[in-house]
Amino acid sequence: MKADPPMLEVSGVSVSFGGLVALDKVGLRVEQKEIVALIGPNGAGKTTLLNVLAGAITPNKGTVTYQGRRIERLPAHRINALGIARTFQGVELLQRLSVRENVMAGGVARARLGLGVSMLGVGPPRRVEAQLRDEADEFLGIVGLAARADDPASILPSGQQRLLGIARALATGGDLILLDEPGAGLNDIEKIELIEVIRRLRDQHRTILFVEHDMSVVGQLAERIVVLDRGRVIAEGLPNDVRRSPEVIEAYLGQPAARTYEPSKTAKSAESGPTRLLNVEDLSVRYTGLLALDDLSIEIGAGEIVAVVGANGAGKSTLLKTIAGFVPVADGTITFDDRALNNVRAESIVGAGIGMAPEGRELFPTLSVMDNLMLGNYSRIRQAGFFNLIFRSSQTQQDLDKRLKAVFELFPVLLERRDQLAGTLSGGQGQMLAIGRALMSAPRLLMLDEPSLGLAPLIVSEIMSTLLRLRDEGLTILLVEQNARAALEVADRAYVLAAGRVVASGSANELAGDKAISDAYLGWEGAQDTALSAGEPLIETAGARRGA
Amino acid sequence: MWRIGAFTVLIAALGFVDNGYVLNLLVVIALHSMSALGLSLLMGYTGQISLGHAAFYGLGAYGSALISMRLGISPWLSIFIATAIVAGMGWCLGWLVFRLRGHHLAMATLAFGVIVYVGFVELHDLTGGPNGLQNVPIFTVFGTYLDTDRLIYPVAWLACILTIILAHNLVKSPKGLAMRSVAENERVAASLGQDVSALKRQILLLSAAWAAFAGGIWAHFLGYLSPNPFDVGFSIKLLVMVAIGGFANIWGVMFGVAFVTILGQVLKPFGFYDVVVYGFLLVTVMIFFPNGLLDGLIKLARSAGRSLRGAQA
Repeated sequence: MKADPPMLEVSGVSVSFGGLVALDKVGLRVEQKEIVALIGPNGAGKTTLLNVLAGAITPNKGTVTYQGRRIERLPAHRINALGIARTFQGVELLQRLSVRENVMAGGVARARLGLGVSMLGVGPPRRVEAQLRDEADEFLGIVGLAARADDPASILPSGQQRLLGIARALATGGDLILLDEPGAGLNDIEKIELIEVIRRLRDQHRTILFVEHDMSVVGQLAERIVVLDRGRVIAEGLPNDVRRSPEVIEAYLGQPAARTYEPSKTAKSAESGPTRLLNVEDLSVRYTGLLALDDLSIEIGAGEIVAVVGANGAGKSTLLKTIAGFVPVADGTITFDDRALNNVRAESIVGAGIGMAPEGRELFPTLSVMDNLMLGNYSRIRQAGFFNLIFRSSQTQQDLDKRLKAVFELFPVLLERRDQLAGTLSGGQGQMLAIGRALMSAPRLLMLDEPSLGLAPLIVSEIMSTLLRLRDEGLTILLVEQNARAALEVADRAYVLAAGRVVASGSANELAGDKAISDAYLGWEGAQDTALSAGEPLIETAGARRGA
Repeated sequence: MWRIGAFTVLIAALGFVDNGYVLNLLVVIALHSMSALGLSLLMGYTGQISLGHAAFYGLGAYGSALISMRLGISPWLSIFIATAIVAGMGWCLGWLVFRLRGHHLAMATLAFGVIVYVGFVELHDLTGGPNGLQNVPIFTVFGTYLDTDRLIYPVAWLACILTIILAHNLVKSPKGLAMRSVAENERVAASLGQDVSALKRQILLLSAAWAAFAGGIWAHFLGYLSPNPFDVGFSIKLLVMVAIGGFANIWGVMFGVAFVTILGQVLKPFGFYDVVVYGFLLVTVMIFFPNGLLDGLIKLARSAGRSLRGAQA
């Protein structure tokens, strides 16, 4: 049997953004009809590599050969025309189009209709439209979305959005499909659907290269794994070999013992009464009729870490946004340090001592790291009086320097990159900056919304241990997480939310052991069931660390 | 399609109105509509701002007038030559400006509009400067000069309705889908094989051509040209028309043109202060009727109707 030429061959590809080397002489091969996973810790350069392959980024050096053709200098649309289709990490559906139109948009370029003929209203444009429509329905059938063809794309739940993104990529006629984190944000049932769809694509003779953090998806799909770390390929091969590779384990896990901060004390419990810092009582919040929070009560004592966990859409983020003053209270009371916060403006709430690192970081991407931090400091300067905007008193300046120093001590990487634009930071560094920015307002209560989102396990544990350190320094922390395992590791107490209500609460250890609740709301047992062995070392390590 | 038919019948019927003032307004509306529809394709459907559209209108007018005067050819021929040239200019401008986005694109097209306007005023030998061009050849049909509103009315509206049909077909075609995907997310459009800059250039070419053709009709109907109607103010007015129409909505834009043109007549006594009203209008519409004034009014009427019926029940 004659060996087929490789579908894709990458050799010596280097990309740098300013001084930052994102890819360093990367080489890899993808054979025809293979399913290859590209994994690696955060900031490893996975998405950058995908962007190079799809033509969104031109590499500084190196070659990309697709079916015997050099493509590294071609623009994205030419590469797509050659048969490489992609999806995006953020899905990026065309929100104003229907589900079917999204898929049809994928086929338009192939039809090569001219401008003049498109204005005729009869003949070719009609024929092409009918054909695109049929094709779109076929691709929607493949991903199981045929029933939703006429719905607006914007109303699909996140799992179906991912599938629609894949259908749209298929419609461009791609033979090599690049998927950027297809499993991100999906629940277990959606993941099973996704895995089925991707296998079906391979059965139809397509080649798949996908970037993924979710090891349960990688374990079930990948025939071969390529591991990137800091812009270099550090391992490549069969899943089982890669999993045993010491380089990979170190890239992912680091040395947990050395990195993990051991708390010097345990938190005072909220039951001790007078130290209660934040009290939320019978809180209800509505979004145009929809009840997002329903009669919810929580309290947080000074100096403890409280986690709020629960599935997607449980109302966790809404709770934080309501406390922060971004969402109006419909009913109930919020008191912070015996001061009512109901419908107080967001900037005054920051002034009162509540800092927030919002979901998705929300940095100012075109400002430097330093400027982002200084913006976090604004509320302090403003509080020191109007003239401080023009001329800072030595007292405020000293306070500022002290806080800045503390933030840099906590996150040395921010000091290293103080002049870099925030938009060029990796996910983990961005999260550190978001926390640092919140700390610059010298809060007494720090609220974090999904700090682990999209981050590799090592970075997550780094950030979580930072929280323990902050608590030891006297800060109170309210942590919202979907990644319950990570959150319960550091929290003193936790609340479990479902459908806008508290369904369980207690000490983090109790909750972590509570099988019924974890099955119903935390869902990591389910993830483990579907996970192949590839995911297990990470989970074991996390468990072992908790036990230690 | 039935809408276009009904609209054509309405326009034909209005052609028999025995009122020179109304006819004149309707002719102006037809010509402005062609420019505004082109701008709507560019801004509404493809998501690219242009603050220099008056320049294309003016280039079509001056171009066709000069070609027919200098070469001594029929205006029926020169208008097509001028349109083709301006379309080419639009395409070339696209090469230059579509590497820019957002504010930068707005500034670049604004600059283009200003440069062309200054050219009309300062190139005395060619354009006659501020005094303009006199004795521009008038359209003739079988020896009859089309120099009254009643006679130019069918020409203007024929061109306008053709534009509506073409625009309608275009946005309904797969190409329209490509335009909408570019408007929403260029990165995604490119990943789907769309040559994003080529598409933008094509649409700029088309909208430049429509504006130029309307300008040509204007020139050969009036018989003289001066630079003033083609200043940046007219570009802004076109923008207001498209905004009131709801950007990506052909019938909405037709409404916007009629609304702004008629409002312009109402505001005549205010002189230059009419700009204040346009500004106020633009802000109001953008805030309260982001999908256009027509759409907003229809929705208001519907909810009023519902509450009326509710009151009766």
